[in-house]
Amino acid sequence: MLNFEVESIGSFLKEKIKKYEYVPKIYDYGVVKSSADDIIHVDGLPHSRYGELLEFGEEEYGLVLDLNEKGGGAVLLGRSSAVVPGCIVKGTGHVADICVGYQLLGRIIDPIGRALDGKELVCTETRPVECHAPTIMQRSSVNKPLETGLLAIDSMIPIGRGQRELIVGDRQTGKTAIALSAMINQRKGDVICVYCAIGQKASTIAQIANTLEKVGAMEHTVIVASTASDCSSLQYLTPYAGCSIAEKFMYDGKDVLIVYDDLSKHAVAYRAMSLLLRRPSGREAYPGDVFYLHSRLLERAAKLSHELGGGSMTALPIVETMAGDISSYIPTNIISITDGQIYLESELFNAGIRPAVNVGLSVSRVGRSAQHDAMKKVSGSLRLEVAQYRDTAVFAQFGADIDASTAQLLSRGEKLTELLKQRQDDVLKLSAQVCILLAHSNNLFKSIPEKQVLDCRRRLLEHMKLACNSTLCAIDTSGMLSDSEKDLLVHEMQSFFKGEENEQRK
Amino acid sequence: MQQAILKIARPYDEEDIRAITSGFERLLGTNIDFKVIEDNSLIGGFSAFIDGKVYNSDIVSRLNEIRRSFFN
Repeated sequence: MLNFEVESIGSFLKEKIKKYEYVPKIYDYGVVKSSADDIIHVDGLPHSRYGELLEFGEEEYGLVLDLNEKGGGAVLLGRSSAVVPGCIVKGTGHVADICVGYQLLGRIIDPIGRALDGKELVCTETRPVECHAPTIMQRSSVNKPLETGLLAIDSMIPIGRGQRELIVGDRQTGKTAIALSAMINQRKGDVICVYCAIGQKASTIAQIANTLEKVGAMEHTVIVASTASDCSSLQYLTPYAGCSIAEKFMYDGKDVLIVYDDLSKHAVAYRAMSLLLRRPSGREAYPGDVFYLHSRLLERAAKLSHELGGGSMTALPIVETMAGDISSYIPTNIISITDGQIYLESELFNAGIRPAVNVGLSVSRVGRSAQHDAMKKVSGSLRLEVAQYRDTAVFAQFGADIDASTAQLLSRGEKLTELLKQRQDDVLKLSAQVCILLAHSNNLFKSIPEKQVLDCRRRLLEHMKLACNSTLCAIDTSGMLSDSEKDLLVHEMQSFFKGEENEQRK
Repeated sequence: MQQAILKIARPYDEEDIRAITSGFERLLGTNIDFKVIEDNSLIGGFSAFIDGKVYNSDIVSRLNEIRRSFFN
């Protein structure tokens, strides 16, 4: 029940009317020539710019995406039956913008800045949706890691702050789960997260918001959402709007993580608009500028130089493949734009290996420069080991006779595969990851049966937290692992595993 | 001679049209030939459409602006 006094409404209205000053308005105008499928062809508006907002009637807006001598083509932002041929179109003179700032944290908004969570949103500052990417001199090299909390990624495919890492895979392979884990892992840190849901089901967006809320990660997160029922123009704008929101934080010197979920739907929305705007189509019916569509978006992710505050924007674009085909148009485009990719496989996912990362096809082009020293020390040959195991396992399943060294490789590989399994909300701190990898490299899990590895891992981490808490805290804060600390941890783990072996014998 | 459209709400007379025309001619430095359209949905005042630009001075747009100011 709303609680207010009737008199206050009157005084509020009187005050607003008193403050109003009349200024005659002069603006460009055009006339709607045709209107179909949310595409408007306009006559007139000789001074309009690409990306300019047009006003149709009272509360309807459109975006200029096509210019010619006599007028142009625009897409409607929202469905409107009120726009009919002969309507007057008003040129607003400014390009589409979005409200930005810290009041957006914890909120769900649409790409034109309307709150979708039913709460009031006060807009104090705006930023154009399309901005230029930072120049070469405004950037610095990526050298600080962005922990995802996932052992498989932080150890083998490290992501740096300011990097663009593609998450690619078929449907239902855990792409969003990886991005969500990365966002959840930032809950107690200094990284702000922006999640752009492009053409997603409204129920999925609600579920993601609930998950983030439940684990306490929503308060440093902004969700920019366009659902599958929104028109193509809103879906097209979503990643650019999200990027502008993230840019504001980045230029304030903050570290930001932005997730585009997903860019294949974004390309499809842009293709729909382009075909309706009668642009010539190319491969897979996408327009010629579909590469530029994504490159200009992803180039806005950067690690800024010290003079500009040293903020960063890490982008995790997601792309869905069909039947594992990463050589189709959109995946290859985005693979070539980004600084690496995490490739997820249905077979691995169905075999219960989650995150279902294919280590052979996944790569981080920033490499080990974006890894903590402690992690560098313990994850040296991990990638090679996993790749070797998966190759050997394929042959071993034919029942071939295997020698002792191959048997050992398979046994270690099986344990490692188990160790790399992780639930979406079960993110691991750096120190925990270091302990697990140290235990594996010292072959401490050798006597633990494969099915008990995950339980044993949990117990090991609990034990280490009690026994060496100060060392673990030191690793988490400094990111370093000295030789003495390493010896201490190995010694403690050896005594833990001795206890475990005794338990097994009983 | 610049062709243009003048939307105007009643009541108005020839004197008003002449005053508006001469005002715009002075402002833009060119002769203007207005096609006058009576539009009572403006409530009062006028809107002139000249060379791709709208010169808006009607009551309905002012009311809309006030309405918008309530929400900002």
